[in-house]
Amino acid sequence: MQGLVVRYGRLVAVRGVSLTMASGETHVILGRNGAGKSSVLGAIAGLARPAEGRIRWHGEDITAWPAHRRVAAGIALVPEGRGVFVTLTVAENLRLGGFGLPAATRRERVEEALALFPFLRERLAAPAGTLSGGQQQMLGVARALIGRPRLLVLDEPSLGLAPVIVDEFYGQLARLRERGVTILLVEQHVERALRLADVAHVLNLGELVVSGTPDEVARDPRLEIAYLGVKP
Amino acid sequence: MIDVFQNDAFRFFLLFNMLVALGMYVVYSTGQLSLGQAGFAAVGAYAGSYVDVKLGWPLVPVLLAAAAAAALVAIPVAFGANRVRGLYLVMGTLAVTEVVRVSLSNLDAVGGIQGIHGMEPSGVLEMAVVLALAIGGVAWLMASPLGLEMRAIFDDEDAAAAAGVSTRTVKIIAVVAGAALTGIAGALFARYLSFIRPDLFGIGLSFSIALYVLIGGVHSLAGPLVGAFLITYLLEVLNRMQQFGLPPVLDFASPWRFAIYGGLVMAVMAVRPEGLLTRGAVRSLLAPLRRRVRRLRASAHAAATPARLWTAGEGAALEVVGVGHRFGGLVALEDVAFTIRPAEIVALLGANGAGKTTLINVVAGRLPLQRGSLRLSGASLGLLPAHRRTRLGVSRTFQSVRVFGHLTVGENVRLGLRAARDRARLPLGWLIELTGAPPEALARDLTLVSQRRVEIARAVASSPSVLLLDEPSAGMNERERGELAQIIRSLRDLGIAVVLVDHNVDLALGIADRIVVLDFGLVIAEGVPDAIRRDERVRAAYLGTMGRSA
Amino acid sequence: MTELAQTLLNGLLLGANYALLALSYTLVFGVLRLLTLAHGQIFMAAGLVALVAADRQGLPLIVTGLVAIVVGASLGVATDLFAFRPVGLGRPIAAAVATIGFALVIENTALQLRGSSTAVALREPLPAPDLVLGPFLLSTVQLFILAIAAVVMVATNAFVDRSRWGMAMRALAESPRLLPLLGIPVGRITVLTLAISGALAGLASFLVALRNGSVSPLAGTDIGLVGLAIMTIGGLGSLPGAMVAGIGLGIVEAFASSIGVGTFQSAVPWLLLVLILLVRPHGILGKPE
Repeated sequence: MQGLVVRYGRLVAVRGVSLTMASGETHVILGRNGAGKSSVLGAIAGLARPAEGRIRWHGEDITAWPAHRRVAAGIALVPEGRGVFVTLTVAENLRLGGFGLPAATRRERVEEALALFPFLRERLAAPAGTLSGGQQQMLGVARALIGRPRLLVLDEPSLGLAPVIVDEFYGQLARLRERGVTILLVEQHVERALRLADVAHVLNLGELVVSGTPDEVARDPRLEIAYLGVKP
Repeated sequence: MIDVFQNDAFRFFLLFNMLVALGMYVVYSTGQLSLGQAGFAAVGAYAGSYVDVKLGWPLVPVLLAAAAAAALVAIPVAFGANRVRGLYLVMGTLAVTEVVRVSLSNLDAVGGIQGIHGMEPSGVLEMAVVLALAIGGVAWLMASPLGLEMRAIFDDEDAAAAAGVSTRTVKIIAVVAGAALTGIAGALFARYLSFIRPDLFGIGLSFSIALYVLIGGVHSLAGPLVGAFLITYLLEVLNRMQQFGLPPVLDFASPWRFAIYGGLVMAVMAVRPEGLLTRGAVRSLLAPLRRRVRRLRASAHAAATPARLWTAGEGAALEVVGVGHRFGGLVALEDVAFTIRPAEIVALLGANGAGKTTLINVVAGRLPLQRGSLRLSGASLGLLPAHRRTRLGVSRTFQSVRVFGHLTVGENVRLGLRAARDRARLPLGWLIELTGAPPEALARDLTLVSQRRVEIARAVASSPSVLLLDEPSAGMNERERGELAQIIRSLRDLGIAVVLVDHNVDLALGIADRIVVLDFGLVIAEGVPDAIRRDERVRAAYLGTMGRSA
Repeated sequence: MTELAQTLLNGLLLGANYALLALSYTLVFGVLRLLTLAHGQIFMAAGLVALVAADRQGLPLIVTGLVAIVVGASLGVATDLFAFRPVGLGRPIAAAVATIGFALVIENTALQLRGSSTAVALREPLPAPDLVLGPFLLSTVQLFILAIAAVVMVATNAFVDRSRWGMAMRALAESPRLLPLLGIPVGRITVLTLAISGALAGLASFLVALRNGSVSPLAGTDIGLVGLAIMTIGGLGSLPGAMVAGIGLGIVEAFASSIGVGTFQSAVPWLLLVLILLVRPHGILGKPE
């Protein structure tokens, strides 16, 4: 199966970024704030149109597709800040994840999600706002999984979470990876992300400066420059 | 199309609409969208007419009486307005219009439904003079420090209170002043007609006035004036379309003028939601003027490093003793106690929900002190509202950056300076440099990181003895964090006690003199960074594997 | 029937209509966080068109009601397309002003097409009260009004609370940006919300016509503002609040009228509003933001 191809440039945020993903791989995009990581994700999810370039998904050009169509095609984004509805119950959040599905299918998928994140089962009737930050993040992922996405995109999932919670969360991501879910991750925490990924990309000032295996990238001096700024 | 200006009635109503728009502008500049202006106009009209007809007063005392009456009625409304916010305020003021109108209809002393008649006539000249004076007065008001406070409240009322603005008082002043102005307009209106009736001042008028302001543009004095002018002019022109000798196909304009107006309103809102004259538009028009002023002021902004604000022993220590806080049944803080001394940096660490921001809010006064005590140099803070604490020397920034978007960087900082009171003032030039942004830039045009620095500068401008920083490094990259650390250290060198809440463990552990760790509302550890790094309880509750890779 | 019972009945009939109208405003505000000031005119236009059509085509009562509902729903959708969409969901004041513009367009159009500002009357006269229910003496039409209003109110609430689309509406109320990421197009939900809201206003108009026997082209502004007042009294965004406040106001007004407050009658909703806000600044069932 072919993977995702993104190739685009936009003067303001991102310039000429290209990456290709194969099914089942985990890719991580690193870079400091303002490097353009969220813009890349926005373009993939359909929240923003790139000024140039194409996005190909399993051979089809989806550059012009609106967000909800891409979701139907199998791309699920869990945005920065959890992506859950705090005034709705946990159960309703999950239901929303399967909005377009026939009831029976949706129930099945919700069961699958609950199997992955068993703590949700006890909290089904509770408003999502009563969950802790880490739990909400996992609910966001569970919700995205209900649509059985072929590509799961996560925007800074560890943002604002205590380090010990982030450990737990990455443990969950590792399990998902084992099940064959294709994951694209944007992160600021270099160490953890590199441990999880198959391929890492580094963005600096809107340009892709390094791509490679985690080991290669970790040793590449350009990674440090990307994070610390230009060395005098 | 210019012929309409020949009509005396049109000229008068044009000026009248501009004056009432100005009156509403004064009120709305604090963010209070009042639909009660027609009620104030009615009160002013009636008061003025009464003293005119029954007591024979001349013009100026009549107008003063009108202003006083409107202001008097506005006082309870202003107090009520302080209790309600947003749409509730809008509806409440709309109720005022209707209640005033119906009350006047039933008041036989002022003629009931028939109203009053027989006033001394006034014309366009008097209205023009009053309008000119009013424009001058309002311009002066908005340029004054009070005007700055009003505009800050418009952008963010809570942040204004945190910056030391007495928001309640300012909002009340705004309502009363606006009402007085509108009352004067009402009295002149009554004199023009030589009679008034209650139904002349109905809900429709309140809505019209609101439209003048909202369509014209609310971020400058010119906006409402232009809005009133254009709308009044447009409706009159459309009304008299037949008289202009245009092709008959345009004859529909007169009976359909309100639909045309309505369509234009929709179009304007789609294209210019903040009104025709946005702050940006006005600024670019005034740019040449501003450049000249800037050159005059440039010399005053020497960026000298300021002298120490507080010396050891002097300045204030903040004592937090036994502080507890509950949200309904949820315990957010339990028996929290620690002390902060001058010139030290204390970092508050803890997981999300551990209570860090709640603690900051309690210390700053945004949340009431339910249990325990707070003392600043021995003086109890517990009962004081947020803006008073800021004036005493406890400043804060917010987790989500709260600057005053429609104010310039310089204005944001100067607002903070006002809270310095009788403490030594930090030099404006140095504070501006602290922001790292040009003083004339609008705060909302800046990047998130720049805005944060503006917010910090604003908090520091009040010469605080205690500075509470809530997640200042969020969104910053490594270099920017380094600059932030430098800034915080230099603040400490000034003698300020800094309380830092931040999720960036490296930053917090790197610059703090002491650390306090919260977990589920309890203090679980306190000490120097190295000790905290190795503390097992802290590891388990918060640091996880991260603490090891320092 | 005793005078008390008569007044109570009048209050309920009035309140039922008020509640439906307030519900239509609250749906829009609760879901979209937007205020529409055009619903008064939609109310008026729906009733007007329905009665004029009934008059010209000789339509039976039920069909007239359906016409009102359809016209209301269409104008609701038009509000979304012409006032809300161009402005966007993030600018509540500008959107509200745009709806004022739209209201002016509707009113001007209605007046011009009607040709005059006289009211339109129902074709058939209203039947006399002839049913006895406990202490109440009412006509079949009046019973019909109460029953329909009650059913619709319950149904609307159930829809928002339990149905799939109601859930999507509540999700939209919380976070418009998150919704497309779930594969749910925001536009469809706003249109649905406004269509239901407009339909409610149209239905309310029809029921009022059944009560009064006519619809006036000038009635739009006043009734629209009263609807807003009721929504505020009940608590912005609260569907149960709107219903409670609507029925409550109807009863209060009926009693005020029977006591005879003269010209203060039109100020009753506003006096009530001020009183409630002083005691509960967020309305009866409203929640602080």
